[in-house]
This record gives sequence, structure tokens and C-alpha cells, in this order.
Amino acid sequence: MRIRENTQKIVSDLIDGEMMLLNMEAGHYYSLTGTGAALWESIRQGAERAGLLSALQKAFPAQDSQQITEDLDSFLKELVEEELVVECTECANGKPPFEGEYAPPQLAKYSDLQDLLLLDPIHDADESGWPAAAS
Amino acid sequence: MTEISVIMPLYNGETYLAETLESYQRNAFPGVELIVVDDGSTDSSVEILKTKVPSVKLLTQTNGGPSKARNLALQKAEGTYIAFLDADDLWPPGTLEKLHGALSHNLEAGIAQGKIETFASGPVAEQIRHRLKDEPFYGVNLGSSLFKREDLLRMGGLDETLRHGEDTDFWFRCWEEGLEKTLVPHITLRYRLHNHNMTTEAASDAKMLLPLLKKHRDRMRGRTPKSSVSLTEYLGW
Repeated sequence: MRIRENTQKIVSDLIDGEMMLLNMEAGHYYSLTGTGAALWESIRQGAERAGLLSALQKAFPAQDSQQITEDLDSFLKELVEEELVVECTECANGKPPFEGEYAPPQLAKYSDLQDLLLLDPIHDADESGWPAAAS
Repeated sequence: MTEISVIMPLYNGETYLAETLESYQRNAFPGVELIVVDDGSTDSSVEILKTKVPSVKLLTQTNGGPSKARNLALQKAEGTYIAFLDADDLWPPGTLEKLHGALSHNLEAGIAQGKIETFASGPVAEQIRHRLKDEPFYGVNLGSSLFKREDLLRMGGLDETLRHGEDTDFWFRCWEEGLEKTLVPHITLRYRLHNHNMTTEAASDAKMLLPLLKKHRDRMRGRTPKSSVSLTEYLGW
């Protein structure tokens, strides 16, 4: 089964090294930790469970394969349950850019601002042509 | 003694600036000062400003963005209270008086907030047309409210690392800190929509929230907001 980001409902972005997701329809927001952020980089465009698993095993050969499989399946199950991903057929099959030590992919869910996020809280205070702030 | 400092960031705002400054002048009373931070305008904005409001305190920075401009002005402000006005928006007559009256008579409150009315100047891009509201509303635009300078300084002003949504982020922090508001049931800001507003789509709007959500989550680790109401209630929505 190939899956990709549920772009109808979800926006996601890497913010200061942390992958953040927002479900605009449900008003929950999420953080992906461990190998979750790199996995999501692939899933955004489209990815297959088998491809993700083999990429994990290849990137972390010292890690117990059974544990990696369980971690990945549990992570993917949560992504599906939270409707963060949808099935796709004609989507890419990317390879996740893993870095560093293995850490189980985890999804942290936040619902403390749900009532607000179901509204439209961004005010466009900007003007066209305002120069980008110096970084 | 300065009672209210009005802070205006300015960047190439010549199209609507004169009208905005007229609305400022209709509101100003003795003890009100205008501080404008020009962010490197290349049009006639600064000339318009000096002609319309000769008493303006003009500061300059180079392409630092609106949050940095507001923070710079905040450092130089002398008023007990601070108001913000963008170079394209308008204050209905009596706005400052109403906000000032409400805040100075409510010792518990740190903010007086009125309603925002949207209006269009010329055609408005399809992507932002939904921002035109039929009814006035309480919103996050800082121009509809009056703040205490000491609170703004204590909270470190606006977050200069945010390119978008810095006003929303500021309200998040006011709510987290339990800063009490007193609501003024009048229109205190006419927010102009025009084709120079940043063009956005719904999805990218939502994407702008992600840095705000992360910052909020980071600040709230191990603690709860001090406000007794939900953020939605706090914002008056």
C-alpha cells in the first residue's frame, strides 16, 4: 500500500528541526519525533511501507529488525487513524533522509487549541513587497 | 507627559498613508505621540508623513520587517499606553478616546480591545476575499486595541523571528500570561483589504500557523495558560 500526506486536510512543515503537522479539519496539531520526521519527508510525496521498512533497516543495521518493524507499523497505523495520510496509486515512492541514531518514530498529538484552529486565526498583516526580515 | 504612543511601521505606503494619517490626526489629543519606523521606503511615504504630521518621531531601519519596526518604536516610546496603526488602515473618530477611557478606568485590565470592520479598496484578490466580513468582529489585528507599555516591554514585544502571524502569536502570549482584556463594543479599526495585501491560499494560511503552534507548545511545556477562559473566548470569537 502506498500512502501520501492527506493534503486536503493537512499542512506540514519542518520548523526549527521539528516536523509539525496541522489537521485543519479536526483542529489538532502534531509533532513527529525520532525517525518520524524523516519518514514523513518521504510520506509527504508518497511512500510504501515496504520501502520505508527497508530504508530503516538499511540505515540502522545494528537495530533489532523486529523492533523497527513494530515501531514503523505502529507509527503508520497512527498516521492512518488520525487521517494524516491517504492511499495513493500514482504518487512518488521516496526514500527517507535518515540522520543520526535510531529513535522510534512517534506522533505527539495536541488538542489544546482545537476550538481556535477550527476557525481562521491568521491575520494577513503583511503588505506586498515588505522586505524579508534579515535572518 | 506622553499618555499614548502610537506606533506605525512603514514601508512604501504612499497609496493610503495620507488617509491613514488623517484618521490618526482626528484621533490624536494632547499627550498622544506618533512614532513611525520607516523600513527603507523608496517611494514618497516619508515626505507625505513629514507634511501631514510634522511632530512625528521618525525612526529608520533597513529592511527589518514589521515586527522589528514595532519593537524598535516600543523601545523609544514614552507613553503609558501603546497603540498600533498600520499605514493602510483607519481609525474611526473617537477610537483612541474610547480605548483610553476603557483601559484607564479598568485597573484590572491590561488591554482594551474594540471591533474590526473590514473594507475593500479596489478589487480584492479572490484568495483573500473571505477576509471581507459582513459584521464587525473582535480580531487579532493589533490596531483595534490599546495596550500598556509596561506589559508589552515585559513580554518582549513582538516575536521578530516570525515572518507572518506575529500579531496572532502576540495574542497567544497575552492569553498564556493571563493579561486581562476589557472589550469596547465599538468599531476601533477599519482594516483595509486591497490587492497589495499578501496573497494567500487557505493551505498556506494554515501553514503559517505551524511556527506559532510550535512556539506555543514549547512555552506551555509543564505549565498551563493563566487565563481562565479558552483562547477562542479570549480572542472574543
